[in-house]
Amino acid sequence: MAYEMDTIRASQEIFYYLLKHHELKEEEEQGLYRAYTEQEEVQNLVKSQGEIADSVIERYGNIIYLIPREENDILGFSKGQLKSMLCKSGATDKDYYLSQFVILTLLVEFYDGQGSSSKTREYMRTGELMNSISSYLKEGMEHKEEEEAQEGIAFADMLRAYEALKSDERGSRAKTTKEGFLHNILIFLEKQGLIEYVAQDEMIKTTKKLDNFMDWNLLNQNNYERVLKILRGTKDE
Amino acid sequence: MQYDFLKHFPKRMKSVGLYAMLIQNSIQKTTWKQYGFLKSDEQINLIFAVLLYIMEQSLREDICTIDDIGAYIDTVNTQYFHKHLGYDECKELGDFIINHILCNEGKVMYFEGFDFEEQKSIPIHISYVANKTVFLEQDFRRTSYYLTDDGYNLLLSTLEIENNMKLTIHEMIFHMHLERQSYDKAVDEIKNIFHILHVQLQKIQEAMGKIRRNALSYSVRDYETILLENLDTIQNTKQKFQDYRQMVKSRVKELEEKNINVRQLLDTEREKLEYLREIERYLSRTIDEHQKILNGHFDLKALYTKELEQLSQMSLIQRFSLRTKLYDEVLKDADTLSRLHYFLRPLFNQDVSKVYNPNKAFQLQRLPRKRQEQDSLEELDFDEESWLLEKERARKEKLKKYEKSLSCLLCYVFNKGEATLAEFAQNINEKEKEQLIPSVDIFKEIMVELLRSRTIDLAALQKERRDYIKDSSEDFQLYEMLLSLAEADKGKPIQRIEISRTEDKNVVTFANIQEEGQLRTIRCSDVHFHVYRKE
Repeated sequence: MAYEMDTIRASQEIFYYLLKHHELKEEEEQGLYRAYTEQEEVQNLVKSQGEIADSVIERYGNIIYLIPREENDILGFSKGQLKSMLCKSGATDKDYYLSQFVILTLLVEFYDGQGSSSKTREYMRTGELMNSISSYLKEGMEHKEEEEAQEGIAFADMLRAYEALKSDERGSRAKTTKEGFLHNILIFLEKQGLIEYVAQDEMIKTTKKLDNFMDWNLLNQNNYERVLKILRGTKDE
Repeated sequence: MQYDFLKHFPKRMKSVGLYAMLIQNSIQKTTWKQYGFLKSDEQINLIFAVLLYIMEQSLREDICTIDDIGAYIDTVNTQYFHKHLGYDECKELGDFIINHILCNEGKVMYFEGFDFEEQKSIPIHISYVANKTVFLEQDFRRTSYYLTDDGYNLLLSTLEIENNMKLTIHEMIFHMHLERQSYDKAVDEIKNIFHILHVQLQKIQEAMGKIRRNALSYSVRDYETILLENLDTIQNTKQKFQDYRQMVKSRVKELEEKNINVRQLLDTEREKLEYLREIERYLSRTIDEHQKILNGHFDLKALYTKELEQLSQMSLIQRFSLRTKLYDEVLKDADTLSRLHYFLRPLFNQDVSKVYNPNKAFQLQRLPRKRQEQDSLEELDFDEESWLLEKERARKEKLKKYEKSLSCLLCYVFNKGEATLAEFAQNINEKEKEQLIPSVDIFKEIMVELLRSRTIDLAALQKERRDYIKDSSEDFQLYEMLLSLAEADKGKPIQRIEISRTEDKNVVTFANIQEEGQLRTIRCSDVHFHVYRKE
């Protein structure tokens, strides 16, 4: 199939923009956005380029996103990289699991809806998040008590690690406080453009990006195999 | 008063107090529970239903006894609320509502409102229902309840006039005040109009925000009302307000011309002029607001359509429940957390790692010192007073350096009577040199100033200083400093100093001058000084 040079250039420009910014908003780059949405050829070229880069290019609402595939360690985060971003240096596996649990809890608190959108609340304070983390950890621990003596990590360990962190009224960001532990994770999420986090007011709000991703991608029934994969626990890891 | 908007505060508190007292009276009572009204919402609904009944009766000038109220509650209850209450209980309930909640058992009710003009809180009297004795047939005495003024106001405020009407009404009042030339009241009215338009604009913006977040949470009915309101505002106003502005402008002009051509304005007229200008200001803002509403109206329509289209796509997506399908499962087995990143990975983007271009090595590298200096100017913790003090201190320090440098040079010259810079340079030691040249900039500025003056007539300067009072200046002033130095001189009074370049174009060199951690060499042309003293 023959393509015009202009079309190819436009698609390359869009892809480079996506590499730089991870997303392309209509209001910020109208020219590129329109090229993508109005010219099918450009869209196909960008999508194919995304495929080569082991990613998916999707448009949710009026924003085009570059979404790295699950195995992509160049544009996405591998488990190890994620750990180094979420936890401070010298963190154990326990800390990493805990950080994953924190993110998942945050998502559950926000996206528990079954309406036309899964979003159920406007904002959350960090204090509430902290409380729900410990109560869910306890719940998890109770589940576990029946089938004790399994190898690997247990909620009891995580709960102990979490409760060992001090709680600081003045909102200290030290490594040894709950606030500090959460702060690091929230800052990471904010840098990724997923939440708005106002540390001063302990305010967490989700961004349009996270809303879109949850509704269209993460919770999409088509992507349910991802969940199954986690639950079944493939041994090849 | 600092805050103008606090002016009619007690008036506002009166309206708020009407609600506050009512709710306060009702909410603490446990009697409600006996009748099955458990939620405070239910209770308040019933109170207002009763109040409306009393209003209806009072307007008709009918008698309204406890029996009537009991019967009314009984009817309302059987038809709508469906609580298990007999007629007697309804009557008791009515008695409770009237006597305990609305009349506070006959005790006078006050709501404390703060008066910002008087700077103290004043008790505001509140009553909803009053009673009088009436005679039913054959001298049978009963108590009949009726609504007081406050009660009427309370009930009237529960049903606001419709928004589109509001604008028309305020506009009419504004027009009337303008006609009657009571401009102070017209200002209030135009402010009201502006506020109404502003509220409308805000409504549009909020609606747009809501739609952006989730178009489905925005109901079609809301959309309809806002569109109708918009249209109403848009067609209603623009031409009228422009006419008003024209009129106000012409009146302002009239008054201004009178001021210039005919006579000084009286105080009242000047006040009027002020008000008129204020009105004009608000009118232009109103017209602006109108324009914004017009734009917002179309934006809103476009946005709503677009979002709905997108939503119709989204509703096709089948979603699983995060809590039951994933979270609950994870809670059962913590090991799943080790693989959870798999689920989250689409959310995170990593920046592409950077590549070093070796060509960079051949480019001119500048130290980023300048930038750092600028950065350090940005004080984060800003305390104006200490900042000013600090600035003053820095200025004094700098002047001190100038003074030391100049005195070092002049002491030598004054002693010799006639000298050159080259001579001086040979005779000074390290310490003096440091004094003479604290920094290149300072030394340069002194020498340039000296050379530029050529002849300095100290006697004349002294005379001038005696005759005029001058503020101390922020910057380096050669003459002032020279005068003070000359006065400090012990010898015969100095008449004048002549400064010139030497003929032979010699160059004076000061080596090893410390500046910002670097050693520098300064070269400057030789200068000749001649001091003339009084004989």
